Formats: sequence, C-alpha cells, structure tokens
Amino acid sequence: MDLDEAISEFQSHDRKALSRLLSFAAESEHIDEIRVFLDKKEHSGKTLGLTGAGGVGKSSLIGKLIELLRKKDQMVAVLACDPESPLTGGALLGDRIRMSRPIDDKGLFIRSLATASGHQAIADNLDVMIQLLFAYGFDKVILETVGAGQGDIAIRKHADVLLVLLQPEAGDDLQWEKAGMLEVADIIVINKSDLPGADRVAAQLKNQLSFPGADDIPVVQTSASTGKGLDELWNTIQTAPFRKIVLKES
Amino acid sequence: MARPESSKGVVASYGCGSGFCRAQHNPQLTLFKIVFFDEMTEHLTAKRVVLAKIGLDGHDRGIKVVARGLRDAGFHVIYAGLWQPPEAVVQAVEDEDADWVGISLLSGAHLTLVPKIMSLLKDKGLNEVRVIIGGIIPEDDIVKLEKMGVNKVFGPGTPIQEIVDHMSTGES
Repeated sequence: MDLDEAISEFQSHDRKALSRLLSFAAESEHIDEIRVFLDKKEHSGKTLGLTGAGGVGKSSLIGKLIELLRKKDQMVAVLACDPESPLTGGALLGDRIRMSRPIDDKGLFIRSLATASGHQAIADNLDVMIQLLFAYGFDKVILETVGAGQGDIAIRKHADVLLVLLQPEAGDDLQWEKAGMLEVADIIVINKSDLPGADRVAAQLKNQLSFPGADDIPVVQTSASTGKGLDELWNTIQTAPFRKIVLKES
Repeated sequence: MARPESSKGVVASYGCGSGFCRAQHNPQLTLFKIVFFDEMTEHLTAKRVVLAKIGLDGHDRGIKVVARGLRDAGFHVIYAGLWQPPEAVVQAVEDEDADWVGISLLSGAHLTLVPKIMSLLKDKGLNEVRVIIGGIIPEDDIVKLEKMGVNKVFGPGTPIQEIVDHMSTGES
C-alpha cells in the first residue's frame, strides 16, 4: 500500500491504512505529506502518558485502564514504546501481551514501537502518530514509555496528562529529590501497592511534595493485579489540571 | 525511503555511524546477516514480525528462542504470547503492520487453527503478510500447510540462522 492509497483508504476508515500510515511515520517516510494531510483535521482527543522504570507495571496498568475506558465506550489506542538494540537495530516488543482484549474489539488499537537509543525513549514522529489516531476516531491515546525514570522526559510534551509510575521499595526519599523524575508528573502512581512497603513510599512522597514551593501532585496507589485504586486513579486523571510544562530545549 | 524488498537480503536498518560500525566490528554479531544501509537517508527499516502461540498450548520455550534470535538479527519482534485465539493474532498483524507472522504449535492442532489464521488474513486483505510455522508438525502435514499458503514450516532443531536467512532473503 503506497502513500496515496493509504491516505485515500484512511479516509474511508480502513484500519490497514491507519496501520500503514503509522509505519510510514515510524520510519520517517512521507512525513511531510502526512503532516499536510493531517493539518486539516480537528479532534478533541486526549493523550495519557505512562512512564516509569521497566517492570513497574506500565503495560499491566494500561491493560486495566483499557478495560475501564472500553466500558465507558471510549475508543482507545495505545502506542507502546520499547527500546531497540543499539548494536543490531533489533527489538523485542512485548507490551501487548499484558493488554488482553475481547476478540474483535474494533474500539481498541495497540501499536508497538521500537525506539532507537538516544531518542529519549520515545519513537520518532510520535506527534504525527497521535494525530493519525485521533483523526481515525480514537478518543484516548495512551502512550507508554520506559524512561522518565531519571531524565528521558520527552514524553512530557506529548501527554495531556502524564502518570509517573513507581513501586514499593523503589528507593529512599533522596531519589524523589532528583531532577526530572517527579517534576514532570501530573500524577504519581504507586503501582503494585498490594505489596508491602507501598504505604511507606506514598508517605515519603507526600512528605516531599508538601515542602514549601513544591507542586501539589496527587499520589495514587494502584494494583494492576488486584484492581485496587483504579477508580480513584481514573477520577484523579479526569480532574488533573493540565499543567503546560515548557521543556528546556537541549 | 521505500520499504525495502525482502529479496534484497534486507533484515533491518538503523541510523548510520557508530551503531553500524560497532555492529560490523562486534565478532558476536558476525553470526548474523545484519543490515541494509542506505547512505542517502542514513535510515534503516527493520522488518516487523508478530510471533504467537495459538490455542491451548503452553510450551513457549521454542518461540522465545526464536524471538531472541530474530531480535538479535535486527528484526522488530512483536511477541504476542501464549494462548492466543487466531482472531487476536490476525488483529495484531493488522495493527502492527507486520511483514511476517510466526506461529508455534506443539499441540497437534495445526490443521484446525492454521487454516483459521490463513482465512482471517485473507478476509482482512493482508495478502502480503507471510506466515511461518514452527513446532511439532508431521511431514505429511507440512505439505498440507504449504498448500494453504503457509510460507515455510520449521521443525525442531532448526538453527536460528536458517530462519533468519529465510526471512532475510525471502527464499522458500
């Protein structure tokens, strides 16, 4: 399927065409033409970003959020970024197995993206991909990336609401003072909070965030395995003030 | 840049410079036929492959070995995991814009489940996607699967390099 065919099929709501246009964007092919095409499109969709260290439970929590959003009849798309080998260019993209879905659910779209090293843990042309998904009709686009742990915060500028995920035993209170990690978050999520130690991490964070001059960032405890805290998280997401953060250009 | 044809021996591509040089000089990686390198765009395009096990079959050691081998050969491997219904696998192939789909079956259900995969791919118009099968498949059944449009069947003991070579060159 070439560009013209993909664009024309996309307009008749063809999922294959969407998929191919996302591939073009991921590979930086025809990117200017796609931007011009998207320029005329308007949407009211919202992006939700999840970031945090590998193994903290981003994909599993997204799986739960998908269930919740699909029950509310929202069309959901996920862009899941995983690293690409700097040596071979290969990648193993294993996020979608944690996001189980009913067979033939057209209201859910999951795309796995390999991200080259040195790209702040997000795929190239992520903005174009998000626009494509909104133009296709998705209400929410969920972005997943490892990274904002300590430094890779490019995800911030693509997410309307950004969740930074932590887990129990994730470090002492000095960790939370480090730059980059928490200052970009709209909501801090302590996932796996069915495990011991979650209350302690939450208390440390709340203490830290109550310092004079600190932003009052909500801290929510969740567990993707038991379902604990998911409703609270969703309510917090909906009421989160959209904080326009200007990133310092590097 | 156009999507490279498999017949050109393309496995993957990535930004030129240090990455490419390191790959060339890393003796571990000489095992693999690695890259398509486009000096004009300094950009390379990895082939995407969805790997999955379908039906009631919990043996995923083999497919994980293949996943790692293909990853190390420069493929982007989308691992869809265990116990997948054919519908979910084909939906993954469509959404991920995969070039290949690899199915592992050790359950003996290949003549029931693979035809479903083939017909679902056809229904969605995913005619360019090539299907490879791995696992315990009797010789007589290999012929039947190939008649259904399966690109290639790999049995136990197949060296990873053989799979990589096949997928890199598109030779059957």
